[in-house]
Amino acid sequence: MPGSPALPRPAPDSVPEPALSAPQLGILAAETWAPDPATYTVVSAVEVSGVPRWEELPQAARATITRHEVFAWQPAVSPAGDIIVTVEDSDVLATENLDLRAADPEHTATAIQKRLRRERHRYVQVLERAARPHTTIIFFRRGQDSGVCALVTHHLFVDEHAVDLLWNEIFRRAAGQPVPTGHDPRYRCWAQTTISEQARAAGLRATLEAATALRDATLTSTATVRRAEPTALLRFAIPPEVTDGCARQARIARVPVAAVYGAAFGDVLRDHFGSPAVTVAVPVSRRAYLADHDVVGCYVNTVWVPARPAAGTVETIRRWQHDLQFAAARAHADIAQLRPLLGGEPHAMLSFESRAGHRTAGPVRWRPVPPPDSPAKAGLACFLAPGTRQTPGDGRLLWRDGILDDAAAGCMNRSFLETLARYAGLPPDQEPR
Amino acid sequence: MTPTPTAANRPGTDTNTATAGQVRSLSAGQLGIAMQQQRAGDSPIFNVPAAIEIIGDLDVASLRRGLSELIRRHDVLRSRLVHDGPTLAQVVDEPQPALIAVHDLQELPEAERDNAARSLLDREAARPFDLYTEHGLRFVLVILAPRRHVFFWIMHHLYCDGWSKSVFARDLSLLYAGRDSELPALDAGYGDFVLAQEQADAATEQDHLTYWQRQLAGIATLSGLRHDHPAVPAAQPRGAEVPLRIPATNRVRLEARARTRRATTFMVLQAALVALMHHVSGQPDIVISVPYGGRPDTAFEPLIGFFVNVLALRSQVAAAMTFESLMDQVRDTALDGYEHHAVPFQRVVERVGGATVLQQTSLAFANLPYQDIVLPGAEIRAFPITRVDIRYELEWHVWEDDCSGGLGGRLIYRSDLFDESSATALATAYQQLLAAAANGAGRRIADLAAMLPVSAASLGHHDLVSDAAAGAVPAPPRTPTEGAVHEIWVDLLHRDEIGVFEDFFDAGGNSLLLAFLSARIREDLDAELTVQHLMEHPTIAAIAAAIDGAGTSEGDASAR
Repeated sequence: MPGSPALPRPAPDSVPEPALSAPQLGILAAETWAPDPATYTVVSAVEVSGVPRWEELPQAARATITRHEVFAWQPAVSPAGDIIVTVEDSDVLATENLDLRAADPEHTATAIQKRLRRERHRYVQVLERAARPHTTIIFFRRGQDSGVCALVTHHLFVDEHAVDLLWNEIFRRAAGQPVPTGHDPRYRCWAQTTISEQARAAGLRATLEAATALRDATLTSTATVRRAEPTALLRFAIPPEVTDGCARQARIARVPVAAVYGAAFGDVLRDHFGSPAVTVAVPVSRRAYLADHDVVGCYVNTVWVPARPAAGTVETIRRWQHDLQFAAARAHADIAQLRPLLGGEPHAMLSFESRAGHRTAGPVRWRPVPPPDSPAKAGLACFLAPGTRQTPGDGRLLWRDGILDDAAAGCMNRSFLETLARYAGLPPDQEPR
Repeated sequence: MTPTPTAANRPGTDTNTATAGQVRSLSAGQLGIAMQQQRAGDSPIFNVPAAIEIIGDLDVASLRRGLSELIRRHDVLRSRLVHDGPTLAQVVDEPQPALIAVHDLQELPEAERDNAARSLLDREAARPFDLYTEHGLRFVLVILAPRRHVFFWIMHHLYCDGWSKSVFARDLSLLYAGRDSELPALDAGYGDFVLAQEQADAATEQDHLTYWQRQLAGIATLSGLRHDHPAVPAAQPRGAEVPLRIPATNRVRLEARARTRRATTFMVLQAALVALMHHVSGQPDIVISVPYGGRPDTAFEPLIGFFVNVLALRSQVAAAMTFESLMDQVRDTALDGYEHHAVPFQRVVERVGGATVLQQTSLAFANLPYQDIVLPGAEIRAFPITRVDIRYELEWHVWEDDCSGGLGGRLIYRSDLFDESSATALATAYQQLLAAAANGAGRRIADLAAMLPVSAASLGHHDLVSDAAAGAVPAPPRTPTEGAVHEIWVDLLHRDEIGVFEDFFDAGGNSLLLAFLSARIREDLDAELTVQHLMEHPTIAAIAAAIDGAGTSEGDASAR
């Protein structure tokens, strides 16, 4: 698995004080650049049914969240300007219960969406002790045993995989199934491996290798930081025939299906920017070892991938996958160093989400719901949840003022769907309109 | 590999005597195909397409000249059907220069050209032949870039068989390079083969028909395999394929087993398929259609043409039999069948009925010399045609793989009837059976079948999947290995109940979880399955089968 060099990992006892991991430091740095302070607020919502005793959910949530040490971390800026971390066992989690059983179902759905949107735009001031707790879980009860649960926290504490682990643990507790009970400080061990001297040296090597690989890539100029710049958003559905065709194309090219979408997005960007080669920022996980599989924390780094055309569709897909793998193997590179080395920014960000399949724990059944509107983490960002045979695919384009407008975004969206259809091997008369 | 030089393919002058305008009968095999094509109507069911990608210099004039010469040399390539009184016959036309349809796709953006070529050639592959007005051969040249072409050719099965493909490649390679004089002389033509068949005693054909009538009595009442999806009459069934691979060590052992029972490798392959079909259908009576024949004389070896017929080989199998005794039975039945091959398959079908059963399973073993086209100054790559037309529900193709020293192959399945997961499970089971047979043919069929990842119950799992969607229980693990893999899936995907045929990604998996799955399989089950392998075989059943298969298949690189 790519993403992290194999460095010695200390035992929990030998790391007396936690320290932010390299990905966490990267997030804090990126947050200072982001025009919207809420850019790194995470809202993860799931639709759940079959909960035996709904009123016990907050307790299950509390037992789960407090077990994972990272939620107790309180980062702060020291007088010397360093970021230090203390472990604060109080004010780790806030819970909120909203009983919507008596409300009109249509109104309920709208009310939940509005609330989630509001939470997504709330700035979690993670560096402020006074702003604790930094994590909230809201339980929207819609039926006797069903509703929507939403976790709101800072990206510093979780990634998409960690959120999946948390929901599983919470609902297994709620279903009375066995779960781990001990305090879990393992993230601090991994964090330590990412900031050690060895890790810094490996990170520097990776940065130089990534910079060398990107030396011919085209970048955009570094955007001027303007706080509270508005973000616009366009949501779109991916037609089932495109989903099927992309899966078929992935099988032909022998790559993950995400590579087909990545290559198609690269085509659209090259066309839009009128550039023969563009660069895309892609978040990748640094959970490189089995030991990281069930640890709650943030392991995500962004890598820069050149999106370059090749002789044919399959070749372009393979080239994208090759370049992505190369970059992912250097996910420990330091973007903060890469930016000045290359003197620019990627043209867009491309992030993949998963909404396929439901999860179960005894009688409890849950599935993720699409996230609410959010500020863009880049001037132009595309979030894609590729479909499966059971789940339709969807996506959303986010852009900041000056990068696109509504009409240009509409054009880009159409172009993306047409390109995807072409990649999917659909004849022109079957391309989605 | 080039066809081995024999007296028949020494270089020299052609002495075959096909004259233009000559009307001649169809061979028994051709007649069978022509009858089936008539029943299928305007269908590409017997189209045999192929394509290569040519990187580098292509001399189109030399290609056209080579193809024209090829058509002149092989009279079947300028033959068409005619009615000769009440019977079908064929007429040989004058040689004409080869027509190559050229499509220049350079106007398209570079990234679109491959897909456009694929779509175009898929359409070409699906275009039926009018066998009465045109010859059974077409060419298409697609220009992707100045030094990048795709050359596509398609023949009707009436005029070619597996061996013909190598002859086509060898002849075209020499003709393109201007090395015409190195071509083997043709001392016989396809007409000579037809004539030889005609001269056989008419009573012989009747005798053969009587044999098949007796041999296949009652097959119309046999029930076949369960399907994942109900059969809906379709104008043209489409196929998809799953690869097969038998490692060299197992091939050597299978060949040794065959020798000890005075059988051929093909007979071992057939016995294993019979055992598998018995296991998954629950039926004791199994019929497998096999192409049989070949060039009866070395004089026919340098010829393109259809020299085979299809035989329906029937076996009676019981769980208590040993694999060796099944091999003996298969050998005897096959030898009997070979003795009675001179009657067109379609005539047998009409006489005995049971067309549905006879179109369920076929097995073809190509132990033929194989040659790719070679063009000086150019690199040749495969350019797969994605459209697959299919004549049987399950077509098993096995060939000698010179690269690995083992056997390669593919299972082509009707994708409207079977899910990929079922086809994968069947292919895996077949490989496992062969591995087990290679290592202990004395074992009972029941014992060999017990370890397989498919069963009569598991085919038709579409019903189970539908049940699952409705809240019923999904297909549970059936073997200890499936159980162990299931446990890992439950842990990774956070789901209590997962069917063994569910797709990992449909079940909520992603590429990160796939990497963890690979690591957990290594850690917990001491098996090495790459992420690439898991991506291509994303079900519990297929993964467990790969792990189990690895235990009996030495040298299998994808699974330890």
